[in-house]
Amino acid sequence: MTDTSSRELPKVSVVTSHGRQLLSGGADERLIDILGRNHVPWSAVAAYVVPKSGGDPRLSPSLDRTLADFDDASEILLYFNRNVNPFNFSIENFKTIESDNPGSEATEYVYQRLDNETGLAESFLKKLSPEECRQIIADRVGDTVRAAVPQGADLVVGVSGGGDSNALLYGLSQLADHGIRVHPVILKGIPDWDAGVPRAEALCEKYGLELTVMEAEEVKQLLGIPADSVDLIDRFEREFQGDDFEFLGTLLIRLALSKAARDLGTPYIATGVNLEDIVCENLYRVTTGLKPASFPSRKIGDVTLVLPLWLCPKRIIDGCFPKYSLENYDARYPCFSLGRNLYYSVVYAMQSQFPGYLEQVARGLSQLSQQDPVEYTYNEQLGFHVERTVPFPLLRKFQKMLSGAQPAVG
Amino acid sequence: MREAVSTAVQSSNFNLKNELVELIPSGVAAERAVMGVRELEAFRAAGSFVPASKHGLEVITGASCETGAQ
Repeated sequence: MTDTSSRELPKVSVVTSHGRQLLSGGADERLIDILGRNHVPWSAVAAYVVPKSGGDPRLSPSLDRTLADFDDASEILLYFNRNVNPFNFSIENFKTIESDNPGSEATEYVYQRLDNETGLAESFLKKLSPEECRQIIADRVGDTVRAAVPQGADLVVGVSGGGDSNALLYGLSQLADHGIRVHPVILKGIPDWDAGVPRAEALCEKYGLELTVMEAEEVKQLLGIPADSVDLIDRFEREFQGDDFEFLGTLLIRLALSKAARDLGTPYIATGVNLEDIVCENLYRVTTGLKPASFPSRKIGDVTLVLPLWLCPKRIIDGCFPKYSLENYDARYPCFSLGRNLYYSVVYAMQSQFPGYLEQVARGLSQLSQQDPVEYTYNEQLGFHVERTVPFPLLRKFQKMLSGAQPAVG
Repeated sequence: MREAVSTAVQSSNFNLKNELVELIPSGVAAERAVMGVRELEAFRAAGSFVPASKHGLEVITGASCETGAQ
């Protein structure tokens, strides 16, 4: 380890066209750590080192060097490579807004007001009581459902017994003036779904709703799998090792809700897809050259999928009924797909660093998605609607998963 | 023709990069505000889109790059 006790460390500054900002740093801190701690993107700066011995500053690839490593430097100038103010959107100097019921806060959310006229971004840390969270969710659910589901219609709603479905059912229960009839449905067949059934039953009882429980055997039949065959999750893990069951899980939920809707004679189904989920989905889509999938209302064959929580951040949803959310988190499996990890991580990074922006992205994508909605066509071989041509090897693998009815030996 | 901004303002802005400033807030004081959730939600869920240029000039000039890159 370098002995730095007797010598002065170089000064580190970010040089922007809005001013020169000194950054603090310790001897053992790397330049990349100092940038990270101050929320300065490493890709946006060029590091120039000013020699103690004099002479011109020189460009230095040095993100991995600690300050102690800069023996002959008096100063490190990090030139921001665009003339924007990188600190304009810092949330650290937020103003705190107490909840309407101090002492009963369940969550908090950073609201950011972007004012084009003044060029300012103001941040507010709002402490939220469960009552405030429920008011927010009820307002957002009301906006979407009033626009997408006609008065008096039947709406089939997927529930898991977790915080999202609880908040969604609460929001729907506040729509008395719109007169829709809510039909909650829960699926069984994998352990975390099964674990949610008692909570979903309690919830539906609270809201005076009749819960339809679709047993594991019925769920398998949605994909044409014999009822007495190997469990779905085992089939999936055998055929698609290292992948995430959520992909098959969300398909099954859609198929189950569609079946329940057909049985009731209504086209409307709803799920608890939230703000982060919808941006994640459509960020993936535009990243891979696909146009956004229509939301908050999406026509898939003879059903219309409505996403009433599309403008609701998970943090606010969780604040509605905190206990239910925790139980739901405890029942989670890890996700391994690199893509799913990537798109969600990008969404959370955007939301955390620019809290006023994610909703703008969501609303822009929503407008775009509805201009020329994606069309889904019925795939005879799969027995449900898809958007794209399914590559033959993938189709074979999927069909193999469905037809692998014999229990594994041993 | 450069009439919109005085030379004095231009040159003082140009020189900002050489001035030490506090762009990162230090010793953040606990400031408070009072605002209801409806007001907060109005700018979170229904606030105006932020144009790239303050005056929305990209509508006229944007064919080359809507966000002003040269």
